[in-house]
Amino acid sequence: MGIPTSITGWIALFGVIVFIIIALYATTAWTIVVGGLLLILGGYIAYVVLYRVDRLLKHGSLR
Amino acid sequence: MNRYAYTLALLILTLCIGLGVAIGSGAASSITAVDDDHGLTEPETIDQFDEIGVAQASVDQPMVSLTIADRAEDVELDRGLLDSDATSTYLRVQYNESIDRELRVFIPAEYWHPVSAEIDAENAEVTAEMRPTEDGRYTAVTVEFEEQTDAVFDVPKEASFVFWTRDRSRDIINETFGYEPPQLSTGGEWQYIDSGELATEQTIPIDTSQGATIQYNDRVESANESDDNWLSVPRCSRAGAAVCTYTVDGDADTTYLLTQTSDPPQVRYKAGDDPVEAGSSILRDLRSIPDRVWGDLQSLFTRGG
Repeated sequence: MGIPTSITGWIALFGVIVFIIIALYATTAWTIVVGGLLLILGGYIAYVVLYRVDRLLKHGSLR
Repeated sequence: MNRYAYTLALLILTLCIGLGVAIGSGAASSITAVDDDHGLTEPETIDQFDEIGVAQASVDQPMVSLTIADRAEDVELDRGLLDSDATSTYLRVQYNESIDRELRVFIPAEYWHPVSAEIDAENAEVTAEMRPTEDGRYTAVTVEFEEQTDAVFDVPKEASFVFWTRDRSRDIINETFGYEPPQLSTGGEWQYIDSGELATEQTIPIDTSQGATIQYNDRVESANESDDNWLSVPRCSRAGAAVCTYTVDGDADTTYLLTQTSDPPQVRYKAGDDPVEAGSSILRDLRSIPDRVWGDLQSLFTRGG
């Protein structure tokens, strides 16, 4: 346990924090469910984008 | 890379939530419901419209005049030389009071087939929200007036035809195959319970034999104005809600609304489970979370200071 060292780790950490906030402040259970699904979708998009950016910065190519 | 990852992950996650919740806007306030209590619903007035193409009625409380006409000149609307009345039916609403009011009137289907549309007035800065009523007999027209206003709305006959075709197709499918295509929105009219009508730990029974959509107004106060924010009323199992609902064993057709605070919010409900409203409510709820977190943080610092 500690500070994440990978893209996935950072995304997961922020996702968990935001999900906890949603769970604490949502008024209905459906809000928590939909919020969680949106986070998973957002996390996946973030992962794909960051993975590409990482490749671009390290190798100068998206492949 | 960690710095990029940190910034981008934060941005995208925030964007994702913001995007989702931004979709679900939509506000309504307490409505003055004239509904079908006006002269345009009288058979004689409808016959008159069929004969001469214009019908008029007045309402005393609130002071409103309603006119429906096939020709622009009958509603005192100046049109260009090239504009034709052939594809229009005009609704004129003359609001003769100076106070801010949201008004709802039902226009019978004999004038035009009920449509779902938002139409800007041709001669004023107001918009009419039109929705078919649940029984399909009327178009519910809702307009928010801020002052005395004379507004003419051009209801396109094409829109009316499209909705007629859609409803007729639904009927044919239902009659031929015995299958009723699903509808996303149930329509129906909201019934409002103002916060002043509610007391602490008051119980209000709501008929839910056809299902019900029950929401409360989690009003957002900003610097200049207060925006309505309608959210689904939670079940009473969740602590801390200002209002909640519960059911009693053996009475499946009634849902009870319970207030749990001395300052309960405004509540509205309508018959039928409306999936569109339920989805919008979830998105509005998500959109409210940053404000709630910020409010809690502010109160924390205020108490600390």
